[in-house]
Amino acid sequence: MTDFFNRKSPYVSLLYFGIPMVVTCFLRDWKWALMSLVLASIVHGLLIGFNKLVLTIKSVTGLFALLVIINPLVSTTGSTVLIFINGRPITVEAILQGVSLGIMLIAVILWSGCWNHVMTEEKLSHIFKRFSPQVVVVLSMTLRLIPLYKRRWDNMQESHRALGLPEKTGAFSKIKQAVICFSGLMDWGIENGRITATSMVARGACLDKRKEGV
Amino acid sequence: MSLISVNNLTFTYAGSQRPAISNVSLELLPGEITLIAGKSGSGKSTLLSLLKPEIRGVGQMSGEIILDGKPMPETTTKETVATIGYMCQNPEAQIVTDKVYRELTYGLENLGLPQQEIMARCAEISAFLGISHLFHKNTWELSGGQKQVLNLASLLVLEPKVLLLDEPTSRLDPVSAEEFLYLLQRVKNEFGLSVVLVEHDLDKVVHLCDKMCLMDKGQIVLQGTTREVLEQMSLQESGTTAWKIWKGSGAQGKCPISLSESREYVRKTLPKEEKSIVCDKIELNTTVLKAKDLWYKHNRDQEYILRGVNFELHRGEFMCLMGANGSGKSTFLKAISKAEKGVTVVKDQRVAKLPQDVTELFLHDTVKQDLEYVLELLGVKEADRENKVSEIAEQMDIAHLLNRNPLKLSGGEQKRVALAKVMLSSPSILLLDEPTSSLDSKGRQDLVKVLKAMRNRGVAILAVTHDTELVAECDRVSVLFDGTLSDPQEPHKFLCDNRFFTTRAVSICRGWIDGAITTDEVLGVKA
Repeated sequence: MTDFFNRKSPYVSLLYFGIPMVVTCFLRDWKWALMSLVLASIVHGLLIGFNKLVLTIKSVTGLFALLVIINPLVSTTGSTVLIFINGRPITVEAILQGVSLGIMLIAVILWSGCWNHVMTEEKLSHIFKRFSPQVVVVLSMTLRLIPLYKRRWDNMQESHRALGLPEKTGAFSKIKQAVICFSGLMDWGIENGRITATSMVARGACLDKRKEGV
Repeated sequence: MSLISVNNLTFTYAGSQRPAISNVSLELLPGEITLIAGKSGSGKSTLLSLLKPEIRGVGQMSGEIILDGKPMPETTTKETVATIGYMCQNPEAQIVTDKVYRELTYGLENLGLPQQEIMARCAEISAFLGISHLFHKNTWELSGGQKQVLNLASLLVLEPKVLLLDEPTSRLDPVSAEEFLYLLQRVKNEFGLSVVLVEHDLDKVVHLCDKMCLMDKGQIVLQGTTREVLEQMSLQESGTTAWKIWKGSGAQGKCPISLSESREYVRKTLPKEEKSIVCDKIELNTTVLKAKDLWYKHNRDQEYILRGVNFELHRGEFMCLMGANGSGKSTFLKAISKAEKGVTVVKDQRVAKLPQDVTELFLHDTVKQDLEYVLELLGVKEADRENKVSEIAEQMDIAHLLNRNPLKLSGGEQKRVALAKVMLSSPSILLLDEPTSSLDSKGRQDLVKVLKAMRNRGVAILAVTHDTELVAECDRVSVLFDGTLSDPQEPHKFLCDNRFFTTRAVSICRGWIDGAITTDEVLGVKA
């Protein structure tokens, strides 16, 4: 099913997954939320696999239970009172509202999972480039910098550990060391960025506004 | 018809008294590779940056630069962006985007070209350079060599007439460097570009270059065809290995440039002999580090990189480890420094490692602060820190750099500062990962001097390297292949027996003068 969406225009994926995701957030009635949940489950299972679907639902069960418990404690809407706790009425309507919110939340999580799976960075860039090609470049640069900085941080930690110096104990010392390392990382980032900026300007970054991209 | 013409160019950086470039005149013709050689600080990179307005530094410039018959524009224009391509030595930092295809199209999108033309140019250049299979990969997944080829491709799609390359292969391993230079030659031949190449390792590039300029203190001292310049170079300069042999044997006839010319010259001019270089027998002291049946992989899902490595390092020994790219040399050092299962470090021996990218060790704004930080971690009292810093600065010859920002120093200076930081804790075992990468020959000589002094003081040194000139200076050498280590050998025997893991002097003289691994030994000069 992923192939189907990969072969179609990115706008198809945008609408197919974006609309249910947004609309579900506004569904207050439990029947509509349940229908959204069922549809989301089917689509999620077909796209990513029913095993992953079961795992995802299992992982949000705790959140669901939390909502069902907390909502009646904070909301006093409804007329059918079950019991009184600390003077606050626990109504059936509030419990059902909590259930409805929980269902809606799981549905949104499933739709988001489908969105993440199908809407790759390339599809998003294709959509954005019509509005602002600059955003596509910035997005691309950010996506490159995140693993680069992470790798640099890991390498710096490894290099310092390999110096064989005595390890500092105590939370304050460790935090101080991390702050110093972070400052070193930022300095390197600036130097590196200077070279990247030169490379960008050398290839026309400061010319007229970018036209359409690929 | 020259593409770029430089007439009496003088340039002084803002805030500087001395001009960086003085009265430089140069002609760049299509279909030629011009080599700009010279010591560190001679103005090579500055000259290169002046030829492209986008990367020019801030300062006073006089003289003229003519691009295609018209004066070079002061600021960036579509013409300067497309016509002149610039590449520096850092493969990673030059890349802007996250995907290979996006990197290729970056410049073309800036120029506002239509999508069809962008696709056509990318298809053509990626096919020519053989990177089509990498199109959808993330840029950080590429190897160093592949990144430089990508950088070259992203310049070529702009259809330049001139390429300015500032030490493009200095951070690459020998095999990737050769592949890159081969592609460069093909590009020059097929597209008729003018290529300006700044390099300090002349052995690698001199056979590719048509013209050469030798710079010193901001001026061009020699200019002409490669052979003309080499023949006029004085012995103070560092030329190629073949040039040293030619110069040392009386400079008879034409200076040899290619490997075949060099071999022919040696056979015609020098007497055939079997050198028996007497090496001091290395007395192996006590073992300080041992690896027995070392198996190592980075994480559970991977294959084993090290498969049953057996290894011993002795006190006061300088050992080198060679191996192909990706053979696991850096992994071996990592396994030792982490004291993985199978590695035994003899009691009371401290192990310290110098990483390949020494800038990973720099955390502060000045060298002095960085060194004092290490002393603080070592528990040295504040009053004593000044003395200890001065002591190590003297040893490593970095006393004049103490107030400088370590990230802004030259490659050789950075290596010595990082080494000072490592040696502050007085380790008895020193691990070095590619210590001579991106160093020129003077930088390498200075580093070898420092390492030998440390070895003589009893420090055990293990260096992982591609550099055969460094291997020629060590005590024992071993090769890592297929996850195992070969038996250590004495460098003379190792270098003379090998065909690839060997010095240039051996490659030239094999079969005629055997047993010599440096030009001094070939010429019979006592060091």
